[in-house]
Amino acid sequence: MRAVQWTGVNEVSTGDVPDPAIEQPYDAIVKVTASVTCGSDLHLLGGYIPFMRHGDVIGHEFLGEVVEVGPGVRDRRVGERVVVSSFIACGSCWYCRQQLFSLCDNGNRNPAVTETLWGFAPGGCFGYSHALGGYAGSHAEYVRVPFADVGAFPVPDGVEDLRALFASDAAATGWMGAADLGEVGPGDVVAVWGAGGVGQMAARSAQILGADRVVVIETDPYRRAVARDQLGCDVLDPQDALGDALLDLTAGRGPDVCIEAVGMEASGATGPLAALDKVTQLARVQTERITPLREAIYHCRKGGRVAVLGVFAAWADRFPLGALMNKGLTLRGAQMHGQKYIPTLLDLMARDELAPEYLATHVLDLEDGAEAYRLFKEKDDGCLRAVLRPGGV
Amino acid sequence: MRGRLLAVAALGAGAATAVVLRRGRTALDAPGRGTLAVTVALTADEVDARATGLDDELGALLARARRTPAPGGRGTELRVDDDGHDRAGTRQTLRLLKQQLETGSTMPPDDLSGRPPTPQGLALDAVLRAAGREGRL
Ligand SMILES: NC(=O)c1ccc[n+]([C@@H]2O[C@H](COP(=O)([O-])OP(=O)(O)OC[C@H]3O[C@@H](n4cnc5c(N)ncnc54)[C@H](O)[C@@H]3O)[C@@H](O)[C@H]2O)c1
Ligand SMILES: [Zn+2]
Ligand SMILES: [Zn+2]
Repeated sequence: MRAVQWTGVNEVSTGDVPDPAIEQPYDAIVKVTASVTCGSDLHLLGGYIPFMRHGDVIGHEFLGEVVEVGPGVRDRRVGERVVVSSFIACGSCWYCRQQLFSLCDNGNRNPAVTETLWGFAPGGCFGYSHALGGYAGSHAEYVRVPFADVGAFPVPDGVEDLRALFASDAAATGWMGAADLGEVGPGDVVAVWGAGGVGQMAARSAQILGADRVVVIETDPYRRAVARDQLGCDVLDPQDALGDALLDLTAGRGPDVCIEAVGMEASGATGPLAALDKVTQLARVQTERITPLREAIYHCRKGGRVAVLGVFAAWADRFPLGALMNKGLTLRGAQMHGQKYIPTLLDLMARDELAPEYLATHVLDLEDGAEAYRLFKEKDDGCLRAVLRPGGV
Repeated sequence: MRGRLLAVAALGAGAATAVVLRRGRTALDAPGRGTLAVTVALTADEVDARATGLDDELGALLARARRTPAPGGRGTELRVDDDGHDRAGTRQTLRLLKQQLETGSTMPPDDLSGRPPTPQGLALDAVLRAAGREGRL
């Protein structure tokens, strides 16, 4: 079959790979109908998560049709249109029973790598390096879905492909940030750093959860405009007196909830700390550039909540521990627990409350994988997310 | 670009070193640390019920394991004495035992044999070869 493969740092191409087959009793094979680029892929492509092997198939946010099920699959049926959680979880370990699906004890086939890096191994993820299980990704004609009864969800008839697609990862991540990590409720002022797919979904989720006001902080002017026009959020440029603007917006209180949705490649920041970050990241003295997280912690109100949705790989310097401790903040992060949120999200989508299809600014054929990533990475032509459709657009 | 590649090599090598160092330490403290342990999210009765379906290797390991209830409804703790040889093999079998008991199937480490060798891939291959047998468990 054809699939988009990682072939080196900042190199992807569409090539031939073997068709997937049922390997475990609980597997399903899904014929992919839409699979989308994610900001997380940029960290992989850029070589910031160096556990990729030449030829690995990438992609983890997808939707398709079940074409084969293993003998242990009870609920999923051939022919169903399904959206699949990007994280792979067994559904039966202690973490899965707590609905902390991305922390599944049994989802990652290579746990030793992340046990060594992080102390314990989170679950596995499609197309996200051998550190997260070495599973083939979804930018392909077909993909093997382990624990299909747990991770694949039938899409209601009225919900179109390009809407349901984002329940797989971006919307689930944003919802987790607002609902679970940030505990957003009525009356809250919520600030979101980053207006990519994840930040936009965090902002929309905060609105749905009753936030009084949502402000999106983004370096890219086009993406700021999208957040303003599509969601009706306030928008700020972080380089334009951010502190004053946030104080003004909240009449001196500071945002109740701050959500970081940028990740380890934050750009645009100026000043000595930002310059130091860039140098130390290149030299691998630290692995992340964390300007937005520093800002989130600094500007958050006393006793507020800070959620980290952006992906980070290892360690970061000059972390504002003093502000965190003395202001009594709660800091939480997670990879998204898709299996917990997808039913809620599909329901919101069916009621037109959540309509993320505007993120799909570019729809391309699977053969155009390299062009999809160029558009997405360079934010060319107003690209927010590029969707790949095997079998043609 | 060149800086980026060097940086990648550094983190990759770092991870490889970590696994190799860990292996070194494992060899040194093999007789000392005594036991390997996992918690399975099943009650004692559930473990018994599922024990009948295990293959010989996993069944033998379960038979060797000391069982105690885990606190807070977290299931059952399984502790296996490290018999001094092949600690890494025991560790991996214990992982598979937990997977089999909890999920009804096992997910061995992914296999990269058959991929064309590349310079950076060599370090990663070494890490992954160790991955099924190393780690903190
Ligand atoms: N936790 C999870 O489960 C999960 C799931 C999906 C994605 N992610 C992560 O979330 C992050 C965002 O994903 P995405 O798909 O939206 O990516 P994206 O690259 O499309 O968006 C990131 C946005 O951050 C903006 N940005 C960069 N520097 C900034 C700064 N200093 N201040 C404000 N904004 C800045 C960029 O201009 C961009 O619009 C990534 O790190 C990704 O890996 C996490
Ligand atoms: Zn993603
Ligand atoms: Zn699990």
